[in-house]
Amino acid sequence: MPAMARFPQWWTLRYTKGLPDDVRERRLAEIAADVDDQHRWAAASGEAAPDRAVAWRTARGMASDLTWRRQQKAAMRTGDPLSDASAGRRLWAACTQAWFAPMAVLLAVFNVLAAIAVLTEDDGQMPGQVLGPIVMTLLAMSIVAGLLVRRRAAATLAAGATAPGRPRRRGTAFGAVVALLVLLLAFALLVVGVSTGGVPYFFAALVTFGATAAIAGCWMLVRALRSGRVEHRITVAEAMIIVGTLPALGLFWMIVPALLAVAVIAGVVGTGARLRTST
Amino acid sequence: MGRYLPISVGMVRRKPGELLPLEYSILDAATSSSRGGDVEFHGFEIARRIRDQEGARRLTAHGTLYKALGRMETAGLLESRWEDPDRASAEGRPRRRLYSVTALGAAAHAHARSGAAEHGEPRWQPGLAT
Repeated sequence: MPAMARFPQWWTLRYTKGLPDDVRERRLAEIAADVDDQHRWAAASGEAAPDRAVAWRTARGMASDLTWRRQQKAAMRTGDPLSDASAGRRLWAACTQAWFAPMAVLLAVFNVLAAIAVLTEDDGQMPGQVLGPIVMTLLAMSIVAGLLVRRRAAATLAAGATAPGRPRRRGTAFGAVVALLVLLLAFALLVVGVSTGGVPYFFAALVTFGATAAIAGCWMLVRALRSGRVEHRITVAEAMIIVGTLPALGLFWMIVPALLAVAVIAGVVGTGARLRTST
Repeated sequence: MGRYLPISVGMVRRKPGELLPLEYSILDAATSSSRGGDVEFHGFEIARRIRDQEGARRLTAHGTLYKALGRMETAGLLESRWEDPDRASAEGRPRRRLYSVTALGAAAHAHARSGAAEHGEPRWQPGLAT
């Protein structure tokens, strides 16, 4: 058999290599039947040089074959989250997936206990005695909400269901510009506070930074939850969990909460949601 | 952050509910053949019909055709089954994958044909297939 006649089968064997057996066998069988049908049709209709026509037909579709292969590989990764992971990442996932959620819950409890401690402190000062517990409670809620959102999103990923995303909204760029201007204002207040030593400037800068972060965080959360893309929800959920661990990191002299925070952050950043669908 | 890149990389970009030209051609050729009594069709047959209907010089390339057929099957526009192996062996040829247009595919074809998309309406609703 001349090389040109073998080309369709040769190429199909190449680009289906490494794909699941059923996918590969179906494509090989379909191409074999198609090539055979074209040869029979060419013989019946008196078409000249059928081998060359078939080979050219294969060659023209090579780019589509490669993109199809890439989609099949992507589908394999979705179905088997650890298929591409190295041995080290597999070990890391095995170590963190069982302990990641309980550690994060412990940190949420730590935030609540810290809030109660500040609230009931005898020699506490205002407004810190009110603002502190509010912030700590919000951070505890951030961890719990992040875990729940992440768990649901990971389950969706494990089931292989990915809904189509919504188109990008026009207000995104405008919101980013406004946030940047507000942050610049806060930075200017901070600079004035440092240069003049004025406490009100520091306080105003702190409030501006905090309010901007809270508004941006809420906006990101709402946008991610309304988004059809599971990946967006997971990104925000992981950000919420990490932000919730920051107080424990700040209280590093207490050692145990800080170590738990490091373990949770390492678990979130080090492996990835698809490797921890059990959380 | 690479894992958060859009999952649609490498996929065909289209407006929601819109048929691609090749998908419309496939449905058109399949629907016209079904009017003649052939409900099912195979890959080469549809490539040949498209060529005849559109007066093209070449048959649709293998990669382009089977990628589109798979995509349409996933979207619920087509369904497929393997041909009876006894029939294929009796005719001394490889068995074929036989496709047929679903109710959703027929509706999508009808909508596309009537030009509903020109009024800003979706040409077909993917959710109807599930």
